[in-house]
Amino acid sequence: MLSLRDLSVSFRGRPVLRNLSLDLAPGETLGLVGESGSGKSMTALALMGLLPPGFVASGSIRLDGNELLGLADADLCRLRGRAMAMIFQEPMTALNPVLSVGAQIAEGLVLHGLMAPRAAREEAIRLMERVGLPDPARRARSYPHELSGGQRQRAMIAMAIACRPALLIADEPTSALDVSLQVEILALLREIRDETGMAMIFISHDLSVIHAMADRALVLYGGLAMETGPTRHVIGRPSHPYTQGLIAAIPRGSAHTERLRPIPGQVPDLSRLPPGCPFAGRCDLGDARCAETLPPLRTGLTALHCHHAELAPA
Amino acid sequence: MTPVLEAVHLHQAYPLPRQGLFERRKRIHAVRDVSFRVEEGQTLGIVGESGSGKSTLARLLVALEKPRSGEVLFRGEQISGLPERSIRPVRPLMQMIFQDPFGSLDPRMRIGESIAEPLGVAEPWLDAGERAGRVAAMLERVGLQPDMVARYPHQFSGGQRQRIAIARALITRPALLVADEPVSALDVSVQAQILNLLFDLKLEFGLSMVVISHDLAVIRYLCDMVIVMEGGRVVEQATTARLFAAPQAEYTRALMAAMPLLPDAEGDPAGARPNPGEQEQNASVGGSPAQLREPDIALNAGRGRAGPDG
Repeated sequence: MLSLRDLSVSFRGRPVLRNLSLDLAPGETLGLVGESGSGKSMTALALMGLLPPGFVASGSIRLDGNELLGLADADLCRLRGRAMAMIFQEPMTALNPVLSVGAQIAEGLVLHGLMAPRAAREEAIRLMERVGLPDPARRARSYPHELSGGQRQRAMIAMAIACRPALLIADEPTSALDVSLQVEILALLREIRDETGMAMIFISHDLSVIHAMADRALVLYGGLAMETGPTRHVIGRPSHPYTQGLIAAIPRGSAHTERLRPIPGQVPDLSRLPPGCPFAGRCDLGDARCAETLPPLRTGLTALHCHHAELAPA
Repeated sequence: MTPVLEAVHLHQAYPLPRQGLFERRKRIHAVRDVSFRVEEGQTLGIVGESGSGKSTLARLLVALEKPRSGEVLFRGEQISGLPERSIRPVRPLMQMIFQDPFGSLDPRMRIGESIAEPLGVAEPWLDAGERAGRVAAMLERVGLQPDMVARYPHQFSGGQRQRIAIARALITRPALLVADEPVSALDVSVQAQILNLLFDLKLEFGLSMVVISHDLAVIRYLCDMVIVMEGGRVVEQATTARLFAAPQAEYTRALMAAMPLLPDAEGDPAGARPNPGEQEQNASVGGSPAQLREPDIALNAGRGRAGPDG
């Protein structure tokens, strides 16, 4: 359904995302995991055709067979909200503060010509009920600032699923929420995915959230897909030194009995990436070749870009 | 032995805006009847969700706020409710670090000056050379190069800035460090560096710490004792080992059930999770907040998918 081939994004000639290829089937969830500056959000924005000025995408993005890259803005507008929709980490900045929540949810339905305004308003109330907003008929007339953080995220979800998109991109949808709300929102997203059969790209810096949500995981670092495969393999039996390091850095016990093994160094600045593997400078296995040449894709139990890693047999 | 820090029936409330001309002014009770002690060299964790009163409590502990009632004792001496003049001599011994060091470092000050600043209050007799020596040694200790003193905060990454904030907090050789969400803004790979650093420094300096976090994994890693707060109240207080092995309060159980965990190896759920059966039995006890009704969904479903047949 969604197919990326060699998707690259650059800013002033510097790559921020390199040669990303992936396929996504209806009903499937792909977890995009990475630290800051890994290119997660750039991937999402490139898919939505919402890259900020100055960023240039190349390669191919096909949604249901249609090439999205190079489409005119007007054509993209017809797809956004209808074929694909996105939810963001901070709904307060994504929602329009001067429009009632109900009107914002109904807006897409009317704009895409799916419903008359009156029917769309009723549908908005039904959607608000579906996402678990209390007293939806009254809430529909509320403005975003009158809702709590969790309720705003629910309203965002209602807006995103209103036109039953085939693809939902969720960019850190629960990172700003308390842990108990996080559990609820994740459960809601899973229910809606299973009800509608939409495909989902779920973006998070949190491996445990990816683990709870995604069938397949893709680990990004410095704009390059380090490792990808079924989530249980990527997290349970990672082959890439970066994925291994990331998992070893998560605290699981007490400092008195278990010392963390942090990855040395800092997440690299995207403007100072080596031409080869972005992880080369921090990696135990890194050598001159790593920094010079982009590692090829190798496939075992998972697929990875690495010159050195020993592959777990498939 | 006298505890380093003791809270006795601490209570803090803030007035809400008046609803009507003749209505009584309502108050929000941010901290209610909180008591605990932190012994020498111990680390106390404070967990709870937003609005539970964690950060208010932290400000009360280092006397940045006066409590409405109750007392804070530092090494047996009351420090709460005193005029600033009386607290000043103690301040260098109680330091605090925050989630976002960018907010606590002066952007126009070279980091060497920022780190040396507390020394001017704590040890005004030091000459410039001695101060520079202390700063260089401290920078090196937190894993930065001493020649970075002339740089400004914006020239550092988030993890480095947190190291600078730690250097500034520890330069006066405090007895107590209060850390409010010290690693929440950091990337996972950098977070582990800072956690190790905090633990090493605690042992090396004989520090007592109070660590505030919403992240139970961070609390479990750093702390010896934990208090769990809900709506300004302490709902549970226990050693870390006991809290994670057998949480008593309904709210603690719900928090732990909601805590995302990674499997240890393929398919195996990570340890330290409370017995789910027990949790269900007690589901009707106590006033669990509505949003915690179905705490298990996300994780169990995730786990199911991670199973060998997944």
